Amino acid sequence: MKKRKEVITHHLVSDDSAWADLLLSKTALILATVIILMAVYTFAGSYSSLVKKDEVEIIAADIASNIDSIGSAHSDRSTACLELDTENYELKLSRRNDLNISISSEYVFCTLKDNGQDITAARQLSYRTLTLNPQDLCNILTGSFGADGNINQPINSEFSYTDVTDLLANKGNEELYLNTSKELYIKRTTVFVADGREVNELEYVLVYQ
Amino acid sequence: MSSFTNDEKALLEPNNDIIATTLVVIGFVVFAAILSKTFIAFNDNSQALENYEQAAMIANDIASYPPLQGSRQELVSAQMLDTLADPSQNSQSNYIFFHRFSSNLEFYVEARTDNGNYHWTINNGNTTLGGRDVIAASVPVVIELGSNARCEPGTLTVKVIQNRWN
Repeated sequence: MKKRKEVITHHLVSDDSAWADLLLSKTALILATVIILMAVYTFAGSYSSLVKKDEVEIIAADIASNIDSIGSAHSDRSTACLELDTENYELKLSRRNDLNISISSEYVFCTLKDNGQDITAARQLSYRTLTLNPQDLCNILTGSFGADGNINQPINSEFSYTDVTDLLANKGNEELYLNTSKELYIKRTTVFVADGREVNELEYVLVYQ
Repeated sequence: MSSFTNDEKALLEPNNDIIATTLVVIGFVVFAAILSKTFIAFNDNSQALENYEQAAMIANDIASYPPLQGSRQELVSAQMLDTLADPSQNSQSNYIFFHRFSSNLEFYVEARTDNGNYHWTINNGNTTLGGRDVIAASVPVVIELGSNARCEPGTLTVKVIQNRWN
């Protein structure tokens, strides 16, 4: 038995046809190919998630720029109506339900659920924004100050304008979760506050559905 | 050349696969590095452009802000710049000027005449750089100096200070 083992070992060592070398070399080549293919596959996968991230960023930037362009207009007649249908963005987001958009007084925040992962994008708003509709704003101001703050009915001088700004900062600070099948309305509005000597204008952008 | 092609000692032949694989791996790594570097550069540039557009929009907005207007719509009043630049004169105007903008947006405004004789800095008193990036955008304006309607060309610059998370 021992002799037979020696014969086999001797045969392997003295074999000049290099089968072992060839097998080792080919195995290494196959392993390297598998690793490279896996790297390419991972690379392609991360590229597709980057594309989706870009798409979500485009939606957040589009909503934020619409809000900012209304805020930069110097007229209360400036309004915009934005359709949030994802088909309008010519994006590859197949399921609308996977996309969550929220707007706070300072940010637009988009989240896309993709294979259990959240892809998010946020854009800062430039102008002071309230997530209130014009009627709610009127009701809040009338309820607190007895005037709705339009040019014909400015808020009375006995209240300092900081009372108004503080109240609206609290009331309009709630996040608005958008229903993407509905339109988003953006409106610029001015609240007039009279302090006896002069009338101050507080400018806001209203965002509502 | 002929000695190289006729060499039958096969020094390279057994390791041909390894050399080829090494070349492929090096090529792939270089390709991935170039691609990711290009993407990072593109991302940085597009973010810088977006930030600049925000600053430019605010600069244009302030240049046409009705309370800043002089005797004519296209003029910027030096008197109003004086009031805004010195909140101790009229803190209310300064507050209302900055109140239009998001409380999360930190910026200040510089206005100067092109001859360098007049310079104003308008800030809300809470602006600290703290080593953060600043994005600036300027618009040309005509500044109305005094009551004798003397006008000087100048520049209005908005400097937006980046959030720490940007």
